[in-house]
Amino acid sequence: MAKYVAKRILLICLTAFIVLSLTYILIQYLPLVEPMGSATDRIAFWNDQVSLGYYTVVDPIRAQAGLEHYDISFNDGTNWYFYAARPVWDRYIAWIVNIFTKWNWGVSTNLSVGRSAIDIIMQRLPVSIELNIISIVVSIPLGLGLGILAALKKNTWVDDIISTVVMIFISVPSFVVISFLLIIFSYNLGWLPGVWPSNSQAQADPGMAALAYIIPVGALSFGSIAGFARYTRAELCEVMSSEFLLLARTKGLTKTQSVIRHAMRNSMVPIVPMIIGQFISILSGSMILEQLYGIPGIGSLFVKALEGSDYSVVMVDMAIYTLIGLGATLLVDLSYGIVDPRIRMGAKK
Amino acid sequence: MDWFKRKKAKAASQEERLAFSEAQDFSFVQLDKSIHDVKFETKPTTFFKDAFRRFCKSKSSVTAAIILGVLILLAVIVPIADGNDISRSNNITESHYLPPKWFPSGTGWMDGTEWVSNVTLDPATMRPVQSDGAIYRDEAIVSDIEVREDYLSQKSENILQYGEGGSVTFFPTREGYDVDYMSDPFTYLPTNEVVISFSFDKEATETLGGNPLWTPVLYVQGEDGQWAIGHELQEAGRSYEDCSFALGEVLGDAVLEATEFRFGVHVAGEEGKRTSLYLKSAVLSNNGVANDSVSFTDATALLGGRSSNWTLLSQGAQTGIYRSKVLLGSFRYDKYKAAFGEDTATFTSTEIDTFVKRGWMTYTWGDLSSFSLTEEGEKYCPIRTADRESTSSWGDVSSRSLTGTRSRYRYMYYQGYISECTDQIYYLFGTNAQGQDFFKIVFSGLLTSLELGFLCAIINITVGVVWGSISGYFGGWVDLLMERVAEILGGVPFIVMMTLIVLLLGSNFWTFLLGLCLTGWMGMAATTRSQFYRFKGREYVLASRTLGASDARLIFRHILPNGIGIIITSGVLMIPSVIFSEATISYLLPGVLAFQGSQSFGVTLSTAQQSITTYPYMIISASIVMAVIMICFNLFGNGLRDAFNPSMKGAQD
Repeated sequence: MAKYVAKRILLICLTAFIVLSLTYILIQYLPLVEPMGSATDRIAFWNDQVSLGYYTVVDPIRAQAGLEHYDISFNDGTNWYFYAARPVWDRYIAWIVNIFTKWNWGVSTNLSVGRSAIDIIMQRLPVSIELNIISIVVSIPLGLGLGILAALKKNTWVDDIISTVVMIFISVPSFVVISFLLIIFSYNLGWLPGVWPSNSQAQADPGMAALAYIIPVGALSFGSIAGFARYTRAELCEVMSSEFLLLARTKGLTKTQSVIRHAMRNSMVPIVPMIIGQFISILSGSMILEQLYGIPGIGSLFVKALEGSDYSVVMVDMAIYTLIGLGATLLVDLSYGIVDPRIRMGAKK
Repeated sequence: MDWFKRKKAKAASQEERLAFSEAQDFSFVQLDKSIHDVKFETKPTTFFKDAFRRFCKSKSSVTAAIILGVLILLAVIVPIADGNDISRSNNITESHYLPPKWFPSGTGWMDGTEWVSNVTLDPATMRPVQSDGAIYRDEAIVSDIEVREDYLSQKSENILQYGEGGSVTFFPTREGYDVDYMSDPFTYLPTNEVVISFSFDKEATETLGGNPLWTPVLYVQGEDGQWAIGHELQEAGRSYEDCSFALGEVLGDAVLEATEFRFGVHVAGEEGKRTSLYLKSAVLSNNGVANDSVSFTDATALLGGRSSNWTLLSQGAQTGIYRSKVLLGSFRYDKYKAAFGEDTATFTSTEIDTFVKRGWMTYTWGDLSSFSLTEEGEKYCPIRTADRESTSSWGDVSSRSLTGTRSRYRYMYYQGYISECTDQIYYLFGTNAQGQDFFKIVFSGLLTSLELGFLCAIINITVGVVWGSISGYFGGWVDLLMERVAEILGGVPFIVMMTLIVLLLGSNFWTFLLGLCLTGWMGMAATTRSQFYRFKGREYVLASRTLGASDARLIFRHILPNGIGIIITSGVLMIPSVIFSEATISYLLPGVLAFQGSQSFGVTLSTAQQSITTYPYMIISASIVMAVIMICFNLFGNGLRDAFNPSMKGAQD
């Protein structure tokens, strides 16, 4: 088992490395964006880039004479400064060296100029994670509960209603749900805030800060509740019609006992990995929500960074999403083995 | 007892029937017949016919399929059949943001009317005030105006002009500053009996104003022309009862240095406070007759500039109005009537000439009475009456224009914004910020999204099937390599992939298609691969191989057809997921990722989202269409899956 996990982790690191390298190289081919800020800030920024090995200083006289190629030129009022980008491959090597030796992922050029991209992400990560965990915690019992109820009452009106609602929530895009929640509960009824409160507002009015969780958590949970319910129902229905359950009943177990001890445990096999997978899909689904509701998480950061062409931030944000995604697939695969002894990887070979 | 007997008799007869009797129960079927193949009496059925029969049994899927068909048909037909122009912005502002209209005006619901509440009314005419922000045309007000009185404290133009009463408040912009508020100059002759009286809003001054320390004063003009406090009529105090001062008594025998004075109040600044006084009226009476040019009894009129004029002496102080009585009206407003009604407008000579050329009207420049509409013009001509002709010159170029009544729906028809020359226009989804038919916008967007979805599904399935077949059929290192490639491609988050492609290649339909197809085939490939692992070891494949079938033949003729049901089902289910992805991504980054030209559904939703608070009908109608199409696609897809694979029936409804 340990050998298998180690192998998988190594493989994931390799995949992540290739994915991030590809992304970095592709981003380097995008049009260059100069940082915002004053001339002194910009000089500092470019000098930093030079010291990190991404750019080279070009002699102003030669550049102005047209003898030497340059990519960046600006004037701080008295002097001209010229910089040329090094070839993409050199930049890529420098980038890797900087990450592994200095843990330097670059600085923001647009959102908050000069701050380290890692800092910005780390500051915003907690809100996103918190929201996702809350909505997972909310949606697991509700989703499983509804699924079990529907499976036990299969082909009755309870099942019909649950299945219809589940169908609707699976089909309707989350931003539509968010829009309707906002229209109904914020703008028409005025019960819930229409936008995420800032830190100072939240401190001033903790009640409102708590209420502000309802719409985001609701919008994030509806989809996963529906997903869990549908999957649980399908799995449980299948298990319920299997022979071992009939055996359990014939040997004298009550229906409750047989369902809880035998059917549920068996139907959990594919559901547990799904819960882990859902965590990831929520994380990426929250991008729209964060944007719409003004939540300062990594999703809205990604959108803002893309709009402002702040590529260092985009890069780190992508790295996080990629790593979470790959980590999740690993967890999903491992959890199969943990939940179901039959497919424990590497147990015997 | 009877009943019991009957039951017993019945049981007995049953027993009799069950009793074995060879002659009765058995006969030889084929005793003397020659045995040979008999033609089936049942009709032969094909795979697809059988699937179709099963599909038809599921009512929800059939309904979904029908609705889906209607929506797709609408998406194809509406952009062609609906002639309203959605490529240009409609320059008639009244036609922007029209609500949805489904029924004729007056039916009360979805009839193009809106309940407008709390509009300031002009007390003289009892009609809504026409301010810059909102113009309410009289002819479009289709209900009685419900009037209510309200007391408002905003210093807005409407309130200052049409409110009355209340009190003036004045306060420093910074803590601890003095404020002086004074009347215009008046002439004081000690021979006259002059009385100054003030009245306050006591409660407001104490609660909101923070108990200011105030003094009634007379201001005199110094030699430098500046006005300054000349005489205090009373000690500074904190009493806000109505009070009056006879100048003769207060000043006594003091020597007056001037005859021109201003009167007013001085509020002393206090450390850490921004106190303010709520002054209801200040009246100066001369021999018992109020001097209207310097006094005020109506604070709103004073601030609105409708009565005497008071000024703040201190720099950086502000005045405000408190509890001005305003009449507010609520009424039902027919926005369609307002948009398609008549108004007065000026037509350029080019326009008039065009009308004449089209045979809509006759007119000779310089002669207003020559204006007449032809029979066709009665129907189409935007100008209805000619009132005035004018000539304007820019340098040496002069241009003539004709002012008259303009029929706006005819004008919009002439401009090409609307396709029919009628004021009975029904915008089913209303109009957007540019006055464009939102119904057409939604379905044009849907068409683009559907095209994207269909194309994407075809490409993804083709690529996925080929990829999955090769990987699954050959296995071994080929499989391992292909799996790793897929893993790396799949490892890049979708939005990242999309963004990179769009940023590198530009944003249009084809780059979007590329972005969606780059990772979209993986699901299909995985399904096909598992199908191949399942079937490639079967005997019939082996048999075929021993007969010398090539790999390609084995793949495409023998193994692949097993999965035709799955392929069709994934194709159908892929379309909504592509629409979903496109909408999500355009919605998320309309600036960067939306492709223009043919507007997609995501862009439509994203623009509608921006006016969710003010004009929610747009996001509601677009969302409903989106939701319905997604639900129908999913139901239809599930129905297909159940039909092709009966063992999965109902598994994941």
